[in-house]
Amino acid sequence: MREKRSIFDNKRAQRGVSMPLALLLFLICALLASVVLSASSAASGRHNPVTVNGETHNQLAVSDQAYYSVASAAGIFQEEYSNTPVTIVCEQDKRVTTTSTINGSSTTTGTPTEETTGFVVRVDGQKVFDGMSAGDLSTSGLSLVELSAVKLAFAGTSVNPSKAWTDDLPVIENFVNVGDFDVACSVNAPSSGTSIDTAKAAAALAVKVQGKLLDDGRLQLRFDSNGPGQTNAASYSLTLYLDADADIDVQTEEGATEVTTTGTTRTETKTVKTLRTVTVTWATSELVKTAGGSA
Amino acid sequence: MMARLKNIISAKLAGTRGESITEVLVAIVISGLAILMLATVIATAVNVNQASRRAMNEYYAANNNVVTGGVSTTGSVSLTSDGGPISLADSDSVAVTCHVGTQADGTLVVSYVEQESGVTG
Repeated sequence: MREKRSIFDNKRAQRGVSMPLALLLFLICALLASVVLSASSAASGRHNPVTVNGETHNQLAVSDQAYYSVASAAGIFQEEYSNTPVTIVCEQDKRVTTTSTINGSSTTTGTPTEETTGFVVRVDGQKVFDGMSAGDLSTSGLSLVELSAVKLAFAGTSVNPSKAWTDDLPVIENFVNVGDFDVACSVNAPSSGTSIDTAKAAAALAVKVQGKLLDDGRLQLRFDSNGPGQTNAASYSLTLYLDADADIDVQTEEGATEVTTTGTTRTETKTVKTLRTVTVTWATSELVKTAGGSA
Repeated sequence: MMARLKNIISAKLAGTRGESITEVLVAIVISGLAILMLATVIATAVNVNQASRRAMNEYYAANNNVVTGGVSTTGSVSLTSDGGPISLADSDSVAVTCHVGTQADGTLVVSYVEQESGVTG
């Protein structure tokens, strides 16, 4: 080891070091070359061509298109949800029967019994449910904004009369699935000037949306790019969170009382209509890049 | 083989002889090759960077339409669920303004925003 050090340390050494120095220089040059080439190839890699449906495209353009598709769809959803309050009216008809027994000068009144005779749900004035048991919302014909509000008001995927009469919104356990949707944008040809392939433009704008009502009452909408070539390395995903402001008003109307007497039994029957009006207004909470999403 | 090489290196390091003209010439050739390689790589990297910068400029020039609305057209956004249509809010579809940029290779970059006037349906 002492001999090796003396090659470089001893100024009066008589041994040559041309070869070691040449090899050292070669090594340094090789390292520098690899660094320079790596940097320049990384810069040019953004323009690598990718093949989509048999056509060659600029990879950066495909990635950017994924972002524009998702951001555009999220913007439309923000606008539509924010500008569309939803009014849900639940009407419940009950028959309340109270039976009294007359014994001489004293009257014994029993506990009133209630029987639900009708249950109707109207969303923005349109009847969507008329029945006594839970009703499926999947075929209700509601818009997505209305559907989200009804699922919030009933904390589930069905209209359940048992959840209709609280003064506050029912609690959501874990989450409620609002549904999976496909967003499509049909593009018209420009009226003048440049002509574009409208079919390709429409295909590039395809987006998938997944909706969930979270246990904190927020609506989570996840947007994933779904155009040609945008589902793998060039995919992009945003998540929109919307806060719900629910105004709940419960009113009760009592109808006329009917009295029938049979022997010593006196029966009073009256109808009671309960109206629960829930007005849901959505407001954007935050729009964030989906955690764990690519690109 | 390795033992022999080790012996040669050890003898060289322990020896007091200077280097032969052959060794010096080989060292010069190795150094020259190294410098030539580095120069070539740097020249290549400069060319690649220039090409990349040019491509980026062309790319963003074409994409400006998406931001500034140079080529605009109309369109409508609609939703489907399980293959069936579902309206987003009040109407079946939402009227939008589309901004289109076309790259040199024909790749379209498109975005859209809701029209001020509202919805179609």
